[in-house]
Amino acid sequence: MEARGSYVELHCHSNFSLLDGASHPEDLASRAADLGMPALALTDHDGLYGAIRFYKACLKAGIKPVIGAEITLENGNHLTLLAKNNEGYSNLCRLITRSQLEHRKGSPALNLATLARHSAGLICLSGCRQGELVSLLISGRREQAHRVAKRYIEIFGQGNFYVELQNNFYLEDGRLCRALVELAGSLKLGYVATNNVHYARKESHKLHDVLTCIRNRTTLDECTSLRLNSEFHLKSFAEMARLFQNRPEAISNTLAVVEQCNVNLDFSGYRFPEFPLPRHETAGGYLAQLCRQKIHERYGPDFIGMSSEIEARVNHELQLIEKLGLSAYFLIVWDIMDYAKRNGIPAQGRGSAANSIVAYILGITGVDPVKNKLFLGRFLNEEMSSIPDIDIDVSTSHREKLIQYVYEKYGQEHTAMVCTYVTFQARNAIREMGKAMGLPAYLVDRMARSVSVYGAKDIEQDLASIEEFRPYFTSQNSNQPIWQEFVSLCRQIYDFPRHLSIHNGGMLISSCPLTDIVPLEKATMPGRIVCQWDKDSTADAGLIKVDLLGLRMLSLIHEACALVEQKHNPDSSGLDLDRLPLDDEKVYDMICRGDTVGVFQVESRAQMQPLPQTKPRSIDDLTIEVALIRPGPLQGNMVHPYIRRRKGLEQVTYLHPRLKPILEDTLGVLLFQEQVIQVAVVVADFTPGEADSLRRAMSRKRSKEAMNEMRQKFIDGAKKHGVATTLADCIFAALQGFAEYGFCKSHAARFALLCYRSAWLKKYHPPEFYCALLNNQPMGFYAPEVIVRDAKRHGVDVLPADINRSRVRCTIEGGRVRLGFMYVKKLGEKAMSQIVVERERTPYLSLADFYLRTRLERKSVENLILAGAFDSFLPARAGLACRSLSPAEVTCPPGPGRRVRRAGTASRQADGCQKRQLLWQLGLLEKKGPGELPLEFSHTRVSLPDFTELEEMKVDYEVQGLSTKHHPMQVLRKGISRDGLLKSSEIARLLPNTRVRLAGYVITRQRPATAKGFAFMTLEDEEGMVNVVIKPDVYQNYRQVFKLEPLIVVEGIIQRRDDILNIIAQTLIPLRHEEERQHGLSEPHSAYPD
Amino acid sequence: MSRLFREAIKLEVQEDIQHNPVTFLYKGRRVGVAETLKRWRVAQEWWKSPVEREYFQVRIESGTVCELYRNLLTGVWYLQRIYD
Repeated sequence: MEARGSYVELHCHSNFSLLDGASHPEDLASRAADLGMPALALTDHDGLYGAIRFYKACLKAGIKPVIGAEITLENGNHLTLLAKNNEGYSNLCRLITRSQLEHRKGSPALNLATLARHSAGLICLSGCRQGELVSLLISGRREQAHRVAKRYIEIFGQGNFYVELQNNFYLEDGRLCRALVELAGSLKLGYVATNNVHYARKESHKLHDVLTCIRNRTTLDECTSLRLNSEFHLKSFAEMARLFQNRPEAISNTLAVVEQCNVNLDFSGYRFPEFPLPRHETAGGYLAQLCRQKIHERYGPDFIGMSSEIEARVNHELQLIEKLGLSAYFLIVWDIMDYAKRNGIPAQGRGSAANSIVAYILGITGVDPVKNKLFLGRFLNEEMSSIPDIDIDVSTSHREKLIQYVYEKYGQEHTAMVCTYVTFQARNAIREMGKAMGLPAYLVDRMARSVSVYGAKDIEQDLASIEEFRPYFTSQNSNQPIWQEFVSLCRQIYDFPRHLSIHNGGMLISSCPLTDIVPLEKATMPGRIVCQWDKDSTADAGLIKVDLLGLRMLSLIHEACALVEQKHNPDSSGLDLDRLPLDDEKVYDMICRGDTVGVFQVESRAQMQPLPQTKPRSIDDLTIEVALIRPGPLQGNMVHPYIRRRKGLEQVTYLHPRLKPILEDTLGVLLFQEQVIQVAVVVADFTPGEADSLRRAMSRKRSKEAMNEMRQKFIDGAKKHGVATTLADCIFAALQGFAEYGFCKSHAARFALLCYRSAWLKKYHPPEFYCALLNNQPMGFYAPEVIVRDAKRHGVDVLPADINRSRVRCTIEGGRVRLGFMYVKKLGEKAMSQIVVERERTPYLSLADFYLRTRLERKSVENLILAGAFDSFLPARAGLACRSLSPAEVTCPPGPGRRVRRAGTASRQADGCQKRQLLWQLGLLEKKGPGELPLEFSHTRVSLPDFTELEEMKVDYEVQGLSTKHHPMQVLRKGISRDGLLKSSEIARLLPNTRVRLAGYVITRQRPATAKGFAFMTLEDEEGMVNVVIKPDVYQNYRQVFKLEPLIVVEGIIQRRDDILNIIAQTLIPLRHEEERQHGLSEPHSAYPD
Repeated sequence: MSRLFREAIKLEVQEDIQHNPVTFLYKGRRVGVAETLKRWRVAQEWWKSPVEREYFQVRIESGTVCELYRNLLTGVWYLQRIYD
C-alpha cells in the first residue's frame, strides 16, 4: 500500500448510525475512492447494520473495507474499535451484542470487564470528543487521562491502542491535539488522525442537522446539539495533511492501521446447522428415506413403489438437492412443518417451493406439482448460485408458537429473527422533515397526505403539480427558499434507515453461534431478539434464512372453522376443509357476482372487476384469477387479452407453435413466472438455470447493456429453432413486459385454495366468517367499518360491544356478531382481560358497579360508554339522571349472598340514562378514592340532551373506528336536499351513459402505477357500493378532493360492462361543499369521520 | 478583558494561498500577523440566515491579540475583537 500521499479515514459514520449519519455506506465508499483513499473504515454507533452493504460497496469501488464500530461505554464515553481479523470481527459482534442485550432497548452500553474479555483481534482508537481521554483532557485531568490510557493498553496491548486526533475546526481542537500527542508520547503510543466523519460531502451537513433534530425530537431553531460547523465530511489526503502538518505520522499511521485489518465477511461456509440424524445416516440418505415413507400419504395407500413420472421426478429432485448441498435445508424445513402439523398450527409452504415434489411429499407444500404441471426449474436448477427460498405461511395467531419451536430446536445462540430497516419514504420524509424544520404543521400534514409518490425522490415535482402547493415550489418565489431546502432534503433523506423493526418472518439459523457473525439486539416486542442485518445483508453474507410469514387468512379460516364447529357440534372432531369439494356452484356464483369482500385475493376493487367477466368456475380458474391482477400481467398488457379470450371475443393464438403447450392453459397469455422460464427454455434453448436468471434479471433494474446481451442470446437461441429474429424479439419483449412482478403458478394455486375456502365460509357460514374476519384485522383491502356493513348486507347483524356480553375478541351471539373490546380504543389488553375476569365473578350491574370494581382509567371507561358498552343497562330517555349505588352496595365486596338483591335493584336503574348521563356520572365517580363513600347523586336531577345521530356516529368513529348503527351517508343525507343526488341502489337500475350525481363515503382510493394515470375509488352509501373511475385529466383537476376528502359528491356517466357498473367521473366535489352550498354555510365542517 | 465589536469592522486583509491572514489594514495602518493562536469555523442557521465564518485568533506584530473572521460565503474579512 502506498504510504506517501495517502490517508485513510478510520472513524466514519454512515446513515446506519441511525439518525446520526447523513450518507449511505455506498456513497461513503465511492467518495473515499474518488478522494484516492486506498481503504475506508465504517464505525457506526453500537452496530454493524451497514457492514455488509459497506463491505460490498468498498469491494465494488476498489478500496479495502475496514469493519469497526463506535462503542458506547457504561460511563457514556465513546470508543472506536476496528476489527483486525475475523477473530476481532467476531469479538466486535459479541461486544455489541452484550452492550445491546444487557441494557434498555436503544441505550446500549458496554462494561470494561466485557470489553477486556473480548478484545482479541481488535484495534482501539481512543475516540472522539465524547471519548474518555478527550473528556478528561478538556477538563484538565491529565493524570487521570494517563491512568485511563494505561487501562486501555492493558486491555488491547500497546500496539493495538492508538490515540485518536481530530481537528474539525473547533476552538479547542489545536490545544486538545497537543495534549493528546503529549500523552501518546509519554506512554509510547501511536496516534492517528481521524475526521469523525458523519457525511461523505460537506454539503450534507444540513441533512445531518435535520437528522439530529429528528433524533432529538426537536426543531432546528430549538436544537441545542447541532454541530458547530460543516467539517465532518470525508477529506482528501491534502486537506488532512494540512490540518496535521506538524504531525505527519498521524496521517501515515492510518495506513499502518489499515495494513493490519483484514476481515472477510463471507459466511456461506457456516450456513447450515447440524440436523439431528439417525446413526450412520447422511442428510441426503435420510431425506430420500423420508420421501419413500411419506409418498403414500400424498399419493394414497395404493401407490405402489415409485413409478413413472412421479418416480423420475422424485429421483431427479433428490439428486439435485444433494448435489446443491441442500438436503439439510429441506430437513430443517420439513421438521418445522411437521411440528406445525402435529400441533394443529395452520401452515403451508408458499412461493416457488410448491414446484418441488419433494416439498409436496414431505408436507411442506400442499399442491401436487405433477398434477398441476408445475415446472421445477423455477425453484431448483443445477446452476443455482443462491439458496432457494422455502417460505412458510403460518396462521398469524399461531406464528409465535412456531417461532418458539425453532428457537428451542436450534438454541437461542443459533437462532434470531432478521430485522428490517424502516426507511424514509415520501410521507414520513415530508412529515419528519417538516417538523424538524419548524414548517407549519397543517401545511406539512396536507402535503404528506397529498403526495402520490412512494419514494421521496420525486417529491418536489409531485407537490409542485398540485395547485395549492405550487407557490412554494416555483423558482421565482424567492421568499420561500426554505421550501426549496425542504424538498431537497426530503430527496436526500430518501431510503435512509430510520429505525429497526422485526422482519415479517425471517428466521436466521446458523451452525455456529450467531453472535460470532452478526450482533443481536432487542426488538420492540418484549423478549424478542433480532439480528442487526436485514434479509438482503443476511443473504449477501451467505446465511440461511427460513421465512415464517404470518398470514392472517390462515388464522381467519382456522378461527371460522372452530366457530362453525362450536355451533354445530362442539364434540365433533372438526370441520376438515382439506376434504371440502372444490366445485360448489353457489360458491362460484357468489365469486362471479364479485360479492367478494373479505375473500382471499379476489376482494380488491381491481380483483373484483374481472370476476363477472371471466366467470371462474373451478379451482384452476381461480388460480388464474389470483395471478391475473398483478403488476406483471397488468404491465405486460396480458389482462384484457385474457378476459377477451375467456369471453370468446378473441381467438386464442400463439406467437409461435412452440409456445402452445406452455401457454395453452392460460389461453395463449403469459400469466405465471414458470411460463417465462419455460418459454426461454423451449424457444431459445436456455438451460433452466439460465432461464431463471433471465427471469430474475427482468424482474430487477438491470443495465441496458446486460439486457441487450440477454436479448441477443435469446434471439440466437431461437434462430436454432427456426424462429425469425423479429418474432424472437417480439417474444422477448412479451417476456420482459411480464416479468416486472407476477406470481409463480404454484403460489397462485395455493392461494386459489385459500380463496375458495374463504368464499365457501362466507357463503355457508357468514356469521362465523365475518366474526373471524373482524378478529383478524388488519388483513385485506377493507377497513372494519366496511366489513361490518358488508356483513349487514349479508343478513349478519353486528352488535356494539357490551360490558356484560363482549369478550376481548368478537363473538357470535345467536347468529349475530358481537364486537369485542378489542375494537374500543384506549382500552389496552390488561384492561380488557380485567373486565372479563371480574365479570366472570359476577356480572356488572351498573356503571358505578363497573367503575368501582375495575377502577379503569377515565379515558377507557369513557370510550366504553361512548361505544355503547353500557347501553344494555338502560334504554335511552332524555332528561333523567342515573341512580347511584348506595354506600352499602359499594363498601361491601360482591358476594353470592348479595348478588340477588343487587340484580333486583339493577332493573330499576334502567330508566333514563344515556351516554351523556353516564359520562356525567363517571365524572362524579372518579372524584372518589378507593374505599371512600360514593357521592350521593340519586336526588340530583340534571337534564342532558341525547346525542343526535350525527354526534353518535361521530363518537362511534372516534372511539372504535366504525359505527354499528349509522352509515355516514344515511346520517348526512338528512341534512342536504336530494337535489338530483341518487343512491347506489337507484343508480344500479339506470341505463348506461346516463348522467348521474351521487354522494358517498370513500372506502378505497387507488392510483396504481400500472393504470396509466387513471385513478379509482369505491364509494359507499347506506345501500351499497359504487365504483368510480377517474380519468387522468379529471384527476389532475380534482386530485386534492380525491386524496383528502372522506365524503365526495361525484358527477359522471354510467358505464356498464357485463354486470359491472362504473361511474366515469367528470367532477368530484367534497360533500361538505355541497352542504355549504345548500345551506349557505361558510365555515368548514368538522363533523366527518376521517 | 477584551473589546468586542458589536458590529464587526470590515477589514482589508492580505491572505496567503490557504486564506490565512498575513497583514490587514486597520485605521489606515498596515498591521502584520505574527502568529495564529487559534482557528475555528462555524456554519450555522443555514435554514434562515446562513452564517459561515472562519475565525482566527492572532497575535499581531505589536503583541496585541485580535480576533478576525472571514465570511466564507463572501470572502470578506472582519475584525471582531481586540484583547487588551
